[in-house]
Amino acid sequence: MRIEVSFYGFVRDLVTTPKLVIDTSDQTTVREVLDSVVKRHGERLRERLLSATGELAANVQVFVGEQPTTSLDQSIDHAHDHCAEVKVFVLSATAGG
Amino acid sequence: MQTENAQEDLWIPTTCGLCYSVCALKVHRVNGTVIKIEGNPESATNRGRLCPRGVSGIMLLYDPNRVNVPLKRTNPNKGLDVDPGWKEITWEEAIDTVAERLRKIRREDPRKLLMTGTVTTQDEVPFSRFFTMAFGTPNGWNSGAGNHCGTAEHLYGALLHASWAKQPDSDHCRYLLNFGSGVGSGSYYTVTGMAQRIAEARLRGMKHVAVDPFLSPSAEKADEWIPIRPGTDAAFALAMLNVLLHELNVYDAEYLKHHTNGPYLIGADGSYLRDETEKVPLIWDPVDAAAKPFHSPEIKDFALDGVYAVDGQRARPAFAVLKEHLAPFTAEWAEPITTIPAATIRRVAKEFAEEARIGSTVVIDGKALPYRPVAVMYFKGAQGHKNALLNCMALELLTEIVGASNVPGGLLGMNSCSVGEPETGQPAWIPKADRDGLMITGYWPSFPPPYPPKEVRATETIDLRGLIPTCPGSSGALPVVMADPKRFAVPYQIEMNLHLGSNYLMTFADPEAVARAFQNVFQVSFALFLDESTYLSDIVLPAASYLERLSHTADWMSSNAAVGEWCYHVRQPVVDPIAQRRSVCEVLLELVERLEMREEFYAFINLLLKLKEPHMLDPTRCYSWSEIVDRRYKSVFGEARGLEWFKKHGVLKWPKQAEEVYWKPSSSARVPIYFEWFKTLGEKVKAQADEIGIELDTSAFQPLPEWRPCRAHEENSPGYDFYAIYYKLPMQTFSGTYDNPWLDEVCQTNPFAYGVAINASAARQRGIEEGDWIEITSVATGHTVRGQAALTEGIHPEVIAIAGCGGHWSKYLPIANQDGKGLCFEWLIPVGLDNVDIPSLTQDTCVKVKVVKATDRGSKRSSRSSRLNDLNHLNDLNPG
Amino acid sequence: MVIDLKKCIGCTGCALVCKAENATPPGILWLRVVKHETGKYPQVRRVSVPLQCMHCAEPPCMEVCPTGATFQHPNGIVDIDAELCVGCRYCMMACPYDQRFFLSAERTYFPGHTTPFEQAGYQRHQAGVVSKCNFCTPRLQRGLEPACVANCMSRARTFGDLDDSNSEVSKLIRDRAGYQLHPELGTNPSIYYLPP
Ligand code: SF4
Ligand code: SF4
Ligand code: SF4
Repeated sequence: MRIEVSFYGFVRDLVTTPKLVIDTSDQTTVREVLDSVVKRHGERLRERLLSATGELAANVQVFVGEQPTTSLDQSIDHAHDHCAEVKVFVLSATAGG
Repeated sequence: MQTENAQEDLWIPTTCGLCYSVCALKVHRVNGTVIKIEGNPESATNRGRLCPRGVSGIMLLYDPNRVNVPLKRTNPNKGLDVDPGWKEITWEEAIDTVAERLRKIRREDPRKLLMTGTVTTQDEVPFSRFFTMAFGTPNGWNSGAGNHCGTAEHLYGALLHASWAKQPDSDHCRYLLNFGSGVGSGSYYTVTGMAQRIAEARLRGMKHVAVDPFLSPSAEKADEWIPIRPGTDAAFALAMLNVLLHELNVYDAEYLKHHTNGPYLIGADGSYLRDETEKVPLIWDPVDAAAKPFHSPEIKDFALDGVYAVDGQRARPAFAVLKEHLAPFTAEWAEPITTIPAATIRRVAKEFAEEARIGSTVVIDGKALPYRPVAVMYFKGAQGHKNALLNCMALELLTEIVGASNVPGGLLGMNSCSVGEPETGQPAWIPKADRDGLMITGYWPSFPPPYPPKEVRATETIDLRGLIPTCPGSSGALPVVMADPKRFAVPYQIEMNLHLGSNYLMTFADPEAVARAFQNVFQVSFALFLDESTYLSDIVLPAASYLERLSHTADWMSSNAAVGEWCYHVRQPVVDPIAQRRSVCEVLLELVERLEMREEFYAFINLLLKLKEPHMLDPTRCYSWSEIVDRRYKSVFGEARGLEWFKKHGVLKWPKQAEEVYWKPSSSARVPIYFEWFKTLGEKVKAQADEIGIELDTSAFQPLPEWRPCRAHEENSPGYDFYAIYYKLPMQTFSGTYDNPWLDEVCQTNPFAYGVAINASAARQRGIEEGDWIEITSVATGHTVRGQAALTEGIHPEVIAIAGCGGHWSKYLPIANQDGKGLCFEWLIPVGLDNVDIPSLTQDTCVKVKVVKATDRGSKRSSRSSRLNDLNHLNDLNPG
Repeated sequence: MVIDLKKCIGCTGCALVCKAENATPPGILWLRVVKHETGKYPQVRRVSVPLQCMHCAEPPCMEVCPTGATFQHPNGIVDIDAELCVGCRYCMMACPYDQRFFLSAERTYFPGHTTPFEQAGYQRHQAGVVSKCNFCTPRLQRGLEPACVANCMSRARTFGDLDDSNSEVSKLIRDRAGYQLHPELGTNPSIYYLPP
């Protein structure tokens, strides 16, 4: 299926095209999607998105469609027309004294 | 004011924007002119009252020195005193220039953009951070990182109280031990609300003991003032803990067992012993004589004392480790450090222990809750030191040990827990536990919250916060890194600063050093005034003040008192922006369009403002600022209560429930009294720092408190025999209000507002008399500031105290820049990592200075001086 | 009026809300807050004392006024009729509390510039006359409390009828041993202070 991955926030120094489309099998997970994105953009993107133990970093939020997900093992089912949308937000501090 | 022949006579509800207390206002407008600003009695936040700043907002609105048109710099040279040569330009030209710069930076490396804000604008700064986030930069700095900010205090706010700030329970507290915070006396949070509540508490008989080098506005109102040497509060607190645990044997065992990590077993390496299968911390059950996972339903009791063998390892409960650690810190040990007699420390500890009434309960809303009517408060004064992390830890543990944390009478987070408005159940947040059973905040105004511990990373940001993730807010390292990013392996340099109303040159440390870090940066300022920091700007845009703009939110987590009611306000313009002033948020929306980043920006707004369908922003169309504000209100408070409703009604309030205010007894989240992860985190920081090649003293990453001297304590240069300290007065907010002529007028009636408080005997020994001009030279920076001596018996003989951030020099602030309008304390404080607490990146704000009488005489203070010496009816007010 | 010195935090909000309410010109503060310190380090006490016209029952200022500009309302409030004031300033010398103010010349807060607020408000103040706190008589006429009472952020101020022994002010004075400033002068001020 076709997965549209959009990046938001503090990744633009690594991901020059904020939106990219990847083709995968019809059964895939968030982890696999991020893996293939990292392949394209380099290991530094992995460091930005994932913790040393391979989990999502504290400041990264991923949405599959409109649903937030905390688990990288969340599966992405083919939604409409074999298309799915994954949004990756990399947040940074908003306040502070 | 009487209003004859008025065609228009309106009272408009809105919200003050002159400090972070965000009081609700009713603004009286007659024929288009604002003639009075009053507190809105409907609001639970300020209950109809305003501080002097709030009242004086009219003069800010109409000040002819305000920036009214966009300006561009013509002088290519930049410097503290270099006139930028302002030239008026059109808004169109200004936006073109700014958009072009932003586009270029975003293409090259968006991290090169910095945003500097201030803590007093609770609306524009967070919204602008959405902009910078969508832009792709992680870099931001609030100038409060210097002398105003609680920094490390906020870290413990998160770890222990699930909130940014905290307050004593003004309804029930009976013993307030206050290490220099301004709570209830015109500074700190919810200024006007707390002034009323603490005044009531005084009448009710709450004892207030002020530990403060200066008889400050807060200490003036205390029942007892204990002068202390600056930066030694932790020694006092450690000695109190020692007396509590080793002499009086007073602690709240039930609280420690069920609400802290006190029973968690600590191994020889200082880390938790963990369960084999689940990897969660273990406790010792003395009934079964067995180690069990902390959350096991089989636990019959928790050991707080003792030594146990667990799988061949020697283990002790965290509380026992803490207790042993405190053994050397006796009252006698603390006496020479603090200059406070050991007997006084013992007495205060005893009073505190007795008044904590451990074991007692009180019935509130039909539920019996622990009653611990004691609280320990502190803020910048105790905290702003080289040893900030461990200082604050010592102070916080006093409240925790006696179980007075977030229970009736004790210290309350503001606001840790919200179940939401009755109709919509929003906004809602509740502290929760992580896998180790320790508390994660339900809400945190920044991102991510300080706990669970974050990873140590290479220095991706310009402020070392990636490397040092314990820093809770703005970083004291930013000007150091910005001056030399390569040294810190930061792979870029800041090229542009979006500058939002923060006069960072006067609110952090040595203005010269800070200016050096900023002078090669293209700076775009949204400004009310051409203040000192705009001397470094390339473009200045005329900003609308809080009376001229609409906000998506006038409130924030800590704008309501901990007790009482929830209250949410509107901020709407009471007059159209004067001249060419514009709202920052509206300008940002225009820039978003120009940069073609609408899709990303709206995504962040939807996410971070938690907009809900059908109110989420659709990137295929463009929204006005008021549409966005309306959608935010409707998403939180329901369809019927959008912007129009708020504009009309001004405030929405509802009562707090007991379990929101006193949430701890029913929460399963534990708080640390042993900060286990600090040690390993410190080791990781060290390793990473070594890899980068920077020398970093990480020895303060420790699980237990300690007092360590500041640089000032070890300074012995002859002649530098005073400590200089800074404090706040209710007549000014940071540096931003000094051009207000009304505030100026009342400051002139208070000898301490613009003068330098100095001990009368110490002054006279040096030939200094009341009103004399004195010169204060910093041993650390070599800079000298001048001011008039205000002699008082109410200050430690080793200390001089300077209020606020006066001493302006911008030629565009004709009221503030006159001689004798206060002093700029920052000239005395050096910029550098030596002067920063590494784990919290807190700037040390105490320094040794030389004080001499000035040889040339300035003008004496105005003749209607405030000190009437003939108030003989007050002479019988001697304490005793 | 009763001012509770135990509650008052010396914020000066009252001084400025008076200014806002009455649009007093630069240099004129009908209400000031002074600091009074007693004792020796470390046994020190510093108290904030708000001062304004005491509205004396026996006002020495009224006695010396040659034109009758200074007068007492039936409710006891001491007031000045600016039309009758000739600016001789005898009253300023007579006032033992230093609470009368002479406006020598019309001035604005920002030299050379009159803000819209000042345009609207300064019509009430003419140069060459003496002015002072009038207990916000125009507000009282509209049924409102004096501005400094309504705004005090520690709720230190209470306004009421001293002649009514059941009024809140009378009770406070009784219960908390309220006192006047300089009672020995025989002026019998209408402002009572509650001890800090
Ligand atoms: S306390 Fe702060 S928000 Fe309230 S009136 Fe004063 S300046 Fe305004
Ligand atoms: S407003 Fe109230 S608390 Fe503030 S100085 Fe005046 S009387 Fe005191
Ligand atoms: S009563 Fe009115 S006029 Fe008198 S000091 Fe108070 S605010 Fe000013």
